[in-house]
Amino acid sequence: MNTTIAPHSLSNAALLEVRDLRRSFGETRALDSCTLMLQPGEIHALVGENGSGKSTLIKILSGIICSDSGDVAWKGASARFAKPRDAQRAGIATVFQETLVLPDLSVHDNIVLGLDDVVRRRSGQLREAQLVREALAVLGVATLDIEQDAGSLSLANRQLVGIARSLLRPWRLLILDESTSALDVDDRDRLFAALRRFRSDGRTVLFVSHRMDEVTSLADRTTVLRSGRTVGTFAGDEATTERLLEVMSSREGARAAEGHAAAHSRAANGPTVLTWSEFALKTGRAPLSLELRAGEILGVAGLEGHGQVAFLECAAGRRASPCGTVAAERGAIHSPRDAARARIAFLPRDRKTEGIFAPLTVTDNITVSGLRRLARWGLVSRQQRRRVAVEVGRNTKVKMASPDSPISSLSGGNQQKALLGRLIATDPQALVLNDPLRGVDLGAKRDCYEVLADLAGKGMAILLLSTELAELCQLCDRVVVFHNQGVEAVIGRAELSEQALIAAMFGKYHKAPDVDVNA
Amino acid sequence: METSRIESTGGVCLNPNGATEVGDDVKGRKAIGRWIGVAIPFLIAVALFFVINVIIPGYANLNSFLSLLLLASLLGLASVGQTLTIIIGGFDMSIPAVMGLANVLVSLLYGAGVPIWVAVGLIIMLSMAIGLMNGFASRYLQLNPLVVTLAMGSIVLGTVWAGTHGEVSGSVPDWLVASVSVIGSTGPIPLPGVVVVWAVVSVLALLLENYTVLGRWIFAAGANPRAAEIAGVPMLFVWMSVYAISAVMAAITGILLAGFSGAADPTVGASYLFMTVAAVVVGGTALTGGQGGYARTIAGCFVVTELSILLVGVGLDQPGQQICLGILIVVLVALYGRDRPLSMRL
Repeated sequence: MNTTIAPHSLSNAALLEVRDLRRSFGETRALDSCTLMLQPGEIHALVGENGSGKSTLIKILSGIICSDSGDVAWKGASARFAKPRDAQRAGIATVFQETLVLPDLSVHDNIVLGLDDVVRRRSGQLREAQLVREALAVLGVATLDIEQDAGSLSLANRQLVGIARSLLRPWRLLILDESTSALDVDDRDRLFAALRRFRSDGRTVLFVSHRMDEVTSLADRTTVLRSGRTVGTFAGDEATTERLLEVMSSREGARAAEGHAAAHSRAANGPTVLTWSEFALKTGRAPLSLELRAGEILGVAGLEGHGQVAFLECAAGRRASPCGTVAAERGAIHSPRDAARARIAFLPRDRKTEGIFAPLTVTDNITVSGLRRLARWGLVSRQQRRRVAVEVGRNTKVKMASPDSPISSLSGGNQQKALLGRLIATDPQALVLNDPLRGVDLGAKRDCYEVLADLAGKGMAILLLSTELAELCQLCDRVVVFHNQGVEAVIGRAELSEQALIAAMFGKYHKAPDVDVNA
Repeated sequence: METSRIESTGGVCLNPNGATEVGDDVKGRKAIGRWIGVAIPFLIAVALFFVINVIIPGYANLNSFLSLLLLASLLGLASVGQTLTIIIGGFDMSIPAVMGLANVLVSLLYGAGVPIWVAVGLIIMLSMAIGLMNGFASRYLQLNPLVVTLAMGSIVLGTVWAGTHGEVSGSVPDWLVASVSVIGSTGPIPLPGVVVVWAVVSVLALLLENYTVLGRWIFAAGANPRAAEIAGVPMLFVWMSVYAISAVMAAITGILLAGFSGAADPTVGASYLFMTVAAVVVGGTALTGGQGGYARTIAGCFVVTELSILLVGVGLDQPGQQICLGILIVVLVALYGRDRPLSMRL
């Protein structure tokens, strides 16, 4: 690999300087004193665990959202990008994690998307095609037929199309937000070669990656974020994998993981709580036979709309199984009533519209589902309800001023914990959770991890749908991954990794030959 | 399977005193805040009482006070159902019609020689059936409760007119007349029967709201119907119960009103459509559902009754009273009973 390290002067000519940048979303501090300096002609890596603020920082630099406070200096002058177009004009090109490629448009049209004026100029089309081919050639995919529909492309090529789109405009800084996750090794190497060429032209690349090998081999310098703060910036030779992982992770995270490891060892041989037999969401999809045992946390994953939600709803009796059955000990589950009888508690996805009773107290919110259990002759005293709310609230680590305060006075994370408490107050033997920790702040998330691990340790069976891969990897004993309305893989603890999950979510999981699904 | 039961609510040790570890001052302040919210309509009721005494010469005597109490009681009984239906996010527009039906039927049946308790029992069962249908149509068939109850009211009143042609000859027992008379008394209590009935019903309504499973389900159902359904609240049961309670209370009010005038009148409840809604809203129960309660409606009943008395007292004729009552209630609600704007609720 012949690379020319561009001489970058560390003196005064920073391309981009970010100082003390802050941004909150409600209660959650996504960015809290973030600092970053980019030199012309460098490849700079940005690393940090999920929720550490990388995406927020990139969105601010791209003009998608605005910061609450702090300075951004672009080429030495203070800058504020109010909308994406401002950032593009300044010369910042961003490729986001979820590349937006329109499947019904051709590769060519996808790449020039957004470049047109209001009325498209036909005359420039030849020159456009030329630019598109050049951009693809830079990325090493000159052979791609630019007239074919983007929908027919492989995921890797789609991602490259997304990158090519960003290259078309004149740019000084290219931001890649986990753009390499779907690329295979060859494509990735070609992309990296292109990035090194950009560097030798004096242009700057900022890239986010979870792959430490990429970071250590490619980056001139690496900035680490943790909980929205910049922990440090490391030059190439300082940025060893061990070092980066060490500064990225905080001690609490390690403890939560340990907690689950302890629970995990106890879980292995509980009785079966839920059984899927010959279950499928559509005729023709491979049927699933699976057992959920007491004390097990079974993860559910999939890209948006690939059937994982339907799978969850079938288990909670909120939807009839299309093929095959889901059954508890006492029989098949066809309705919410069956699920309630089998002591299966369901937590819906949207806290605001499906979860909380905003005008009511924490007590009411926690006890509503378990009222029947508490009551004698339909009567239930205020003190009794309060007592249960306090008990359950303590178990699920709800931080509240008083059980009589309205639930709306709690932070989102604590509301979510109260909803978890509502399920627990019904004395269930299985929890069916639809992405319970989405949009929950980091502290509350850690609390919830501990609560879930603790429940599993006490013999609760948990079916957990999550959109966060790290969460699944950390919490689950097994993960069922959906792709295209079918079960792509059931990944056991030993094979569980974010890469394996991603591969399965994109329908690319290659099962090890001797994996026993019910192991 | 019993071995895997999670002792999550039963097996946890509590603080010895069972209290939360929170500052008492915070708790105190929150509680005071809530009580001030309930207190405002009561304060208005008391203030209005003094205003009446000042404006209307010669009002200040026991009989005037008893008649205020009596009128408020009748409104209060009719408003129980309106309060509960509004809390679950509905309305009961059939209250006046059910009142008229009960009013006519009790005179008719008693006049025809049916024992009064049999007559009352029949009327209560009939009204309960009407209420159950209201609740069923609103919830199970997902029809708008406003339309359902208006239509039900129209059907009920139409049937009454068809059956009686507006001419009802009948009579009511003397004790029923006495129970709604200012000079009546209930056993040893020197108050008319209707006031005592209202007191008992009020206590029961407050107990229902705060100490029963149904009561808490009612608030959950109104606060967020979708969440309530997912949380396992039996929504159809709640809706049918609430509308049945509403219709039965309307029927009881209609029966008591038969003692008031002596003659049966299908339109006896006409003014109660607006007044029950006004009493609920003036009391501060939110039309968005899930908030408020009957305690507030009690205050609202006094305020609405006092306003009517005030308007009669200053010498307005019937149309004038209606106009002014409407204006005053809108003004009152605008002053403090407003729903929070959408931007505040999001």
